[in-house]
Amino acid sequence: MSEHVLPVPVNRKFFTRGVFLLIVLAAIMACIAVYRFLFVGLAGATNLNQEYPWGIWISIDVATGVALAAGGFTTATLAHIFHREHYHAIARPALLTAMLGYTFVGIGLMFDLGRPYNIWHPIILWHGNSVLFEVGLCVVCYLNVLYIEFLPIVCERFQDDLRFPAIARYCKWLLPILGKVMFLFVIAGTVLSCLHQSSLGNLMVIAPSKFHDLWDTPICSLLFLLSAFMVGFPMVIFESMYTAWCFKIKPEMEILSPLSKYTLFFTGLYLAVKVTDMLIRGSYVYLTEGSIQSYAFTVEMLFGVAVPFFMLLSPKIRNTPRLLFIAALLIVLGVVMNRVNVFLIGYQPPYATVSYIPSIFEVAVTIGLGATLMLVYRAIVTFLPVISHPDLVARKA
Amino acid sequence: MNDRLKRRKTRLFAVIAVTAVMVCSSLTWRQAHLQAQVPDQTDASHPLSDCGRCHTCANPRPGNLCLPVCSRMQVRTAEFKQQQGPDFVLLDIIRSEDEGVDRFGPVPFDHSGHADFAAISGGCELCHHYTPERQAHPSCRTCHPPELQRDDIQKPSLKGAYHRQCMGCHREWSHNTRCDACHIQKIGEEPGVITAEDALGHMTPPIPEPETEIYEPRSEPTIGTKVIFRHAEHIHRFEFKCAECHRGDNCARCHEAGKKHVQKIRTMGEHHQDCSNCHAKDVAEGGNCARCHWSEGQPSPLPFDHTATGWPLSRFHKDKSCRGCHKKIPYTALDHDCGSCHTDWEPDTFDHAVTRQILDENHSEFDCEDCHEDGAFDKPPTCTECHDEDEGIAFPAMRPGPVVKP
Amino acid sequence: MGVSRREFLRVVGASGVAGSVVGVATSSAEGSGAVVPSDDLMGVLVDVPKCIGCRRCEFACKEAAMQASAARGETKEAERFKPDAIEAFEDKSVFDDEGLRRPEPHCYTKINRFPNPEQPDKPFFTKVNCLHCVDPACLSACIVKAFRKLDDGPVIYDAWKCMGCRYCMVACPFGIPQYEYDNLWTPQVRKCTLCADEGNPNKGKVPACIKICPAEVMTYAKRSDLLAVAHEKIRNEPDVYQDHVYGEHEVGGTSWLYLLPHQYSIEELGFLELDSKAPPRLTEAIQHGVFMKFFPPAAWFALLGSMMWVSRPGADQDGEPTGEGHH
Repeated sequence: MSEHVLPVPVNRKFFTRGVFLLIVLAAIMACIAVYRFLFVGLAGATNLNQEYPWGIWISIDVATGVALAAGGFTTATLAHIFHREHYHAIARPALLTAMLGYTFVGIGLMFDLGRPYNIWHPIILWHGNSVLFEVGLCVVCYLNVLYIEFLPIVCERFQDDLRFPAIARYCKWLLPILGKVMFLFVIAGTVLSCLHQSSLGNLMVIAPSKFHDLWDTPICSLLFLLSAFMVGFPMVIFESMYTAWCFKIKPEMEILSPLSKYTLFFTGLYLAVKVTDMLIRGSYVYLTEGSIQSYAFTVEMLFGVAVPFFMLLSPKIRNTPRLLFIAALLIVLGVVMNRVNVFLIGYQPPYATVSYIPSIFEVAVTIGLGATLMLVYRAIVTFLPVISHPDLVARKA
Repeated sequence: MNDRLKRRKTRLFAVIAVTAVMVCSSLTWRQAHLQAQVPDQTDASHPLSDCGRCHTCANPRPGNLCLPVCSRMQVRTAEFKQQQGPDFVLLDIIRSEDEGVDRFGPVPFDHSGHADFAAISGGCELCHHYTPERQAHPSCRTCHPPELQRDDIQKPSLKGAYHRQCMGCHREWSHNTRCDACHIQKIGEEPGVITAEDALGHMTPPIPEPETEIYEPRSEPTIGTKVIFRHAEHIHRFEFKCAECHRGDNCARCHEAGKKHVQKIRTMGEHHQDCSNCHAKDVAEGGNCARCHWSEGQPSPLPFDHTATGWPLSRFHKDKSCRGCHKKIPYTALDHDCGSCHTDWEPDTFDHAVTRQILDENHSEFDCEDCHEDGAFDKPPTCTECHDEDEGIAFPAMRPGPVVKP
Repeated sequence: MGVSRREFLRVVGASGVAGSVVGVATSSAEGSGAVVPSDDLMGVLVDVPKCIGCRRCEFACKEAAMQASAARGETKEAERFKPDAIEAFEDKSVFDDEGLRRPEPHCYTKINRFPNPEQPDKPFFTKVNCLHCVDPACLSACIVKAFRKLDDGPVIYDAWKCMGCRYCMVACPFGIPQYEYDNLWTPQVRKCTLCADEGNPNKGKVPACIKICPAEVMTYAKRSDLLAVAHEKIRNEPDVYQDHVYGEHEVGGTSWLYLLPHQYSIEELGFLELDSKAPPRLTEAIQHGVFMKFFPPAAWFALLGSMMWVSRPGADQDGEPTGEGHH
């Protein structure tokens, strides 16, 4: 077990060339937001139509966003519930990613909703039969859990800040209380995540006549849950290495390499269930139909699951930063592709005369949301104690 | 120690996971299988299972079957005669259900006009499809109530029955479902007294009549590649009415003349049916095919010439209508004896002036045979009974009286 | 075996990897019954071969929707529903120009024309609108329960609840709900209400399209009676109708029932071949299996808590490993 390295603010120069690019992308998104919400509505901003009511704002910003934020609960489960102290170093970045991820899922959803001012309605208008209601309510609860889990990080930062004595006092009082009850929230976070990650997969099952048979299975929710387990650690690996590259610090291979062993297990499990499901349902007959769906499924399974699985089998690859990064990236992209396939490519409305191609505004908002997320992430790790890395501590000392 | 624990936990975890996956898949497929067997909830609706659908009393027996008036879709016990019914009917029973608003107004219905053409397609019973015994002509309302929401949903209401009946044919040839094609649409004011004239104003525009039709039979032609049919000749000269030839015909054939209409494939017999009603001899084996068929490059068959029948029409008959002499269809050869047609021509009462030859006093008292030898009225008279031919007294140089100028 | 097996499943499920395992397992153990149409359910029987394609129903529908909107005080909406003069609906060129005509946000019903191979001058016409499912997917899907199914059949929408997620449009197997994308602030999901929406002059009476239909192609009556009539018609006129009442079993049954001409297959007439099982039965079974009165999530919570306790630092130094005893 490695010795504990306490998380510290990164404390690097915030405005770099990359950050400016992110700001520009975020600003473009803000302009489109004004355009969409105040002037043209969904009709002008999107290419959605009566046959394709869901576009990339749902399939990427929301569904994929939820999947990629799975790093938060998988890491929390590993580090806090199973007490693998070794992985504490990555728990906070993963938590931050999850928190921001879910927050931006909410923001992305606001863009897509026809009446965004009613987004709170599910809280009062319960509809227990609705799969989407379950997803929605769990996401709302989990978002609150995430904020509570993040609170100690904020408190730690401000408890010694002499500029705001009142806040510091409050933080000092709050921290031990949070420490005592935090385990409840950690467990709740995992339960809520399991629930909504799986339910998300149940969404399209209600439309079997429109949902391509390659993906339409009653265990779609189990597959979504397993793929969330699968993508959690690769997302952490990807993000940790990317952060390290950004801040020019050494990737912590002694944490990430063993982490990838879990990924190997979950990827194998997912692959096995997915293939079994395909064999039982006989849906492999569609693989050769030559449609865009068959290609999308093949690419998703081959490059998103099978290739990284076989890559991770090799200890050499698991221990080589660059190759590990590639394997993690493949899994992340595979899950992205899976979500897009389920919610967009695999959705075949029977009366569609034109297919849906996202408008420039939709693409810009999706990119803008990602950019804003990275911007906020960078801002938070710069000013709050999120990342623990020997290099950073050494530097500070 | 730590390692052992870790290994054990991993193993436990793996076992649980794999078990779960297996249980899950097997159960899912069991469930999918269960779901495939949807309970069949059909058919409590067989008519034999429900006597009350037809019989109105609990114990129907012979002699008292308790059958309602409209027990069946189609019953026909009476023969209809054309022109039996009224000339004009005003259909004004159904009022629009909207409170006080009658959107479309009543329909003036030209019954005689429809009866004339009924024979073309369906006959009277196309509309009068239900005439049970002792009820020669029940009104439509007997079975089709005017209410939209009714107890018996088996049959359409009066509104539905009318429109299905009318639009079934009308839309076929007019491709028009305009309300004001039949209804007198009320626009603001009361239309006043509605008469047959209002119905006539709604009639279909005149149908263009084909002059001569030339067909090119699709089947292997054995007797010429072309067929001629002089349509105008048949209606104007032979005076056929539409319904006499067109029976069970496609409306569009006339109403959309010129437009290619699809006809079902017909046999030789069916093909010649329309013609063979009259031209039975020509159509029959060894008949005169050249009457209609001819080959490319040769002159087409000529129009009908009465001379060819052995009776060149004289000035008296050439302007007569065919039916003036030929009372029956198909037209057949008539006796050359004038009396066979002119039954009212008796020697005592006959006014010779109808032949344009007035008999003067000297001739008026003769018997017919005195001039017309052997009663051959179609030949010039002979004067030799009284006059000497050598004196130059002969018909038509000398006449037995003045001639009527035509 | 049932009980012990169920118990076993619960144990395995609760200690398994996923809540969804419990869901599927319990739902399969307990099954999920199909929604049986009630006796009060009204329906509409569409005698497709009788339709003359006059499009009066399109007119009447727009007119009724306009009046309903106006009665609710939605003057702007009423303006959008306002139909052209009735004569304008006589225009038959729309059948040639518009391809397969589908409902629009402000036109709940549309007529389509299909050539009749046997009688070219009597083409067939089909009417497209919400079929008012017995077990509606839109209703099951809606996150805020903005759809209601009335006792006599109509599936209607409460705009004030809606947040505009459009999941109902995804869920509807017939592609019926239409969205007012061009409405900036208060877009609504639009679909046929069977004239049962608030303010509709035909509410509680015969729906507008059925009332105006001259040929009485549609009959509005109890669904069970209509089914009996439909089957009798098929028996009496097998050379007219195909032996299938569309909507009797599709997606668990619909209030609208169609008698179709035998010359065409269902799909050639613009209808969809659909399973007889209502889609919500599967999703709701999974859904309620996962939750099942919060038992599985609570069990999952407890299990994780115990794992957290067992694997706490220093726990294994207390004594000997406890073997397989705990879970």
